[in-house]
Amino acid sequence: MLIKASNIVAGYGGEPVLNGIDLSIDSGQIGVIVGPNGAGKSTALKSVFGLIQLTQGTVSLAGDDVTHVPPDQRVSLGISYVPQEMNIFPSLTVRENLEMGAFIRNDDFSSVIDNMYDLFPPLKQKATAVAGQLSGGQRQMVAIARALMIGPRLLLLDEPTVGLSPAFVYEIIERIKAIAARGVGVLIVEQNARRALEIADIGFVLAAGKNLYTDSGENLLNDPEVAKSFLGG
Amino acid sequence: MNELIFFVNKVLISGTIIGCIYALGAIGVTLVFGILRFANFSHADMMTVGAYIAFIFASLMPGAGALIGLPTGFVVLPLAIICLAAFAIVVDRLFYRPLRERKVRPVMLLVASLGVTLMLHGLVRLFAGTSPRSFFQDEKKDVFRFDVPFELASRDIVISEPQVLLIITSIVCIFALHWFLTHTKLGKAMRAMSDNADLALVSGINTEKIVRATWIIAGSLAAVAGTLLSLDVVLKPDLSFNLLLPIFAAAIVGGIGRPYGAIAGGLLVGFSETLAIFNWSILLRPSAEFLPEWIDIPARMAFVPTEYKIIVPFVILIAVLIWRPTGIFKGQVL
Ligand SMILES: Nc1ncnc2c1ncn2[C@@H]1O[C@H](COP(=O)(O)OP(=O)(O)OP(=O)(O)O)[C@@H](O)[C@H]1O
Ligand SMILES: [Mg+2]
Repeated sequence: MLIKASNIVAGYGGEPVLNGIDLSIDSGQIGVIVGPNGAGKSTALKSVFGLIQLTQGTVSLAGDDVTHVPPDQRVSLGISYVPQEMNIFPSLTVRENLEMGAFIRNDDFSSVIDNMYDLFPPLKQKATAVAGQLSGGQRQMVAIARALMIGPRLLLLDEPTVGLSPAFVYEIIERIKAIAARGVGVLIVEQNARRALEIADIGFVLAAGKNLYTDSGENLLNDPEVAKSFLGG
Repeated sequence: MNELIFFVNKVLISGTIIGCIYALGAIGVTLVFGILRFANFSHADMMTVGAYIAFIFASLMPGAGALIGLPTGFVVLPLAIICLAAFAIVVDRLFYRPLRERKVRPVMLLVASLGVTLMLHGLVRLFAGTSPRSFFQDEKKDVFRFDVPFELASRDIVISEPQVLLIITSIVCIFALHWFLTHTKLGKAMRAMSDNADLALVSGINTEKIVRATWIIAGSLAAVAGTLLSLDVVLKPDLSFNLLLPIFAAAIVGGIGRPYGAIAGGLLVGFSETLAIFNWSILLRPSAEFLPEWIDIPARMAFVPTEYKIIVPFVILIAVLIWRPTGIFKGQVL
């Protein structure tokens, strides 16, 4: 397993938000976390990245225990995280945003930037534009490209398509497939559950801080119980 | 004609000088706010400490300036910069970092900076006494007089060597800072952290390193501003404490957290001050012969009496906070 989070109990100081959840995916796989608002999806992603203290449970990356590794060091280990909100540097240019994503690299990463422009062509034209002035879809591209600059093994995306027009949702989902095809493990929280489960190797349905269902995306889509409660019928 | 030259001397030159000082101070305040999220009240006293450090170096090596033909106080400026930058880091280690590590709210850091400013106040008086000192005890302060080639102009445009050095050094500092912020990895990371500190951390940016760089820059600029100011006027323990209000006004007018705004804000506050205390009746006097007799031009016609000039930044500050709290350059709302 590339990433394996077992029996995670965590929260923000009060009652735990996560009551013992398990998540795991392999390299090149897409894992999708779905669930109602407030289920703890974002919290689950944060605990995989180490942004919140776990009261119980372990996280391991490619077999190594990283439970107590602080987030900035997880970046060096190859984990990238794109938060749900405020996930760009708004007053920096698109190119500078990408450079910041590569902050921990000391090599020449200009070819990586070119790769990002190939993956997200709109960013090439907007390279010198201030990121805060881009459209929602383009900002989301900046956010994902920034996270890819380290060449991560594991990419954590929190609602990458929220608020985007259907064309952009399609665009972003296609890009995520391309990223996983390069061997990166991608763990996504998605509001567009049906669309996301279609590309999911594994789907995790969370509710009230617990795993309700864990299965392949296809099986979840075909499960009448899941469809009724979480996919709007 | 003489009246116009008087205007140039009193408003244009004085405004530029004080505007540069405010701008240098405000950049330091705004950078610290952008990175550490607190209003650093000790910045003005850091400027004073910087000036005293320069004074110590200048007295240790008298005549150093004469070798190159510049004031000794200016020649030792690089040494003062290094010392004050190091001092700023030490202050951070001792007082601010422990609070940061405990993740206190920014207002606690602000209160700590008030404590630091009182401490610096005391330290300066303890070691240097309260009497004013001059960098030009044994040196001559060069003054340049520019003859204006007009028949009616008998007065000269006057500017002193320290003033010229102040203007040139400020411009150099501003360009150097701009280059640093836009062309170096560390500078860009500073802007990134000021933009979105959480994302900077998530990107693996070493935020403590950025904090250190911020103190180095803020300390260096404080040393430059304090030393150059004390070369222009005299060195005394309250050299720059009185500048705290105009410096904060400049930083807020420019949009707190925005270095370019701080430059604009500094010049704006500086010029507003000199324009407000300028005696406008001097400019009106020549027109007296064309005016009907019943109009009497008073001897003094300034918007604000000189001794009350602190009102000017105060009014600007209040006006900005009411009508445009984010400042000209849309900074963080305090
Ligand atoms: N920073 C925080 N401090 C305290 N409580 C929080 C914090 N963030 C989230 N919570 C609480 O934790 C619970 C789960 O939040 P979380 O953001 O993980 O949900 P989510 O499944 O991502 O929801 P959404 O679909 O709205 O993004 C909620 O009850 C929320 O109020
Ligand atoms: Mg969420």
